[in-house]
Amino acid sequence: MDNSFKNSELIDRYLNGLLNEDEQHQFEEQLAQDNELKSELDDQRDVEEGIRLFFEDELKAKLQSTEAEFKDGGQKFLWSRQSFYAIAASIALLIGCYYVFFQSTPNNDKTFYALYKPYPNVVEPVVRLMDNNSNLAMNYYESGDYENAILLLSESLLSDPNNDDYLFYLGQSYMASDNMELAYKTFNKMVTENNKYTAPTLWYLALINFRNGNNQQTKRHLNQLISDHSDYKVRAEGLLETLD
Amino acid sequence: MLKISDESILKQIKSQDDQGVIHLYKSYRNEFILWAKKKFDIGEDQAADVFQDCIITFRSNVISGKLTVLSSSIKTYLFGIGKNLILSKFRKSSKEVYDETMLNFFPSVEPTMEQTIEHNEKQKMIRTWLSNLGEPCYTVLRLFYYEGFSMEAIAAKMGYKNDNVAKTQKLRCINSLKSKLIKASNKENVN
Repeated sequence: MDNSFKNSELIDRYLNGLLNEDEQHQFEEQLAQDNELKSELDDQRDVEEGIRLFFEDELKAKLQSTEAEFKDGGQKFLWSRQSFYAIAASIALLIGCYYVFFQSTPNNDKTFYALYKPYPNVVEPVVRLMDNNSNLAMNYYESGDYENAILLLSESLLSDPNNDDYLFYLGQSYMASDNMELAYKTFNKMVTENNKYTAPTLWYLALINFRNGNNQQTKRHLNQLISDHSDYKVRAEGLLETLD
Repeated sequence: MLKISDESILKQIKSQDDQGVIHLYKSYRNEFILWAKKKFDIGEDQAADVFQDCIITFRSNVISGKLTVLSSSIKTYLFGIGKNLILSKFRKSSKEVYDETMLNFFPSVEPTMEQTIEHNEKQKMIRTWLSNLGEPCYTVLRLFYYEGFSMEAIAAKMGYKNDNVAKTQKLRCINSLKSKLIKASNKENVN
């Protein structure tokens, strides 16, 4: 256990109401005098509350998906009564696979945004990539300047086209900039062989497919995450539930 | 839709089955939306959004043990939460056409502040890290904070020797998130 958090257990018991009356009184007295303890308590409270909210967000995504079913039901009803719309839909289909695939399905958008978060930068500065260009790219990525991250990562890929770090974060940057088509193409270059980003790449591919209403592909990626017992297994099962 | 009893719904929710929660949503969704639209002059999407938060709050109260016995029906309880949420979310923008006496028909359900599900910046960062958290942290934290499992139950589920191992694992995960939070805060202060 990390010694720098020597009060973790005590704080945890305090936050979860597990201290008896005496212990609680003592803790609160200590808290009034010890700023370090107070600051650790605040951080731990934020962490615990953040965790609760995160899992509630996952439930919210499921409920939004259920809500979308209600709306779909309403739309189907209208369509069956108004053949005009059916004809319009047929015309829309002719616009082509490209358009259909890479336009989001509005009903999936809310769920998508509840589940989607850009992947954190896990490339440590000390071992970080390799040249100044790429370091700068990761700094841009970390600060949310995805446009510049895309420029520099694309440049880095010219000299090292199979670099997993470059490809993965380029895909992430496209996705964060809402360019799902290029994010999808970039991630797809990575799934042919195993690497440290295999599981997250499959997860993000599943999310892109889900957002586009491509349920078959979404299920394929999610099932792979589940059968691989990856870190995304529980999340994949949750999203799969909304598709069944 | 097949109506199941309030007791069965509570049982389903306690058994950590999201299907129970989804069934609950489907059971009262239409009625709630009609009621909210009429009484508070809000749109269907806003009403649906509020009802999702009602269900989440209701589930959380059941799992945390704040709600063990229903003194009224689940429907009354849910609409009570809904009333508080709508008033806190839309009071400023609402045209206030509703009749205050009507509101009293549904009891207020405490605590109201918790129902407004606000996220501060730190909590937003934590949520980003959690969305990519590895195992066993993801499952251990989910079991404890979302499913309401005891440490003994987590140990059994995860195949740990005893509840102390589960406790230590949980604290490791919390501390790792705390470290990230402190690192991010320091970085922000430097910038």
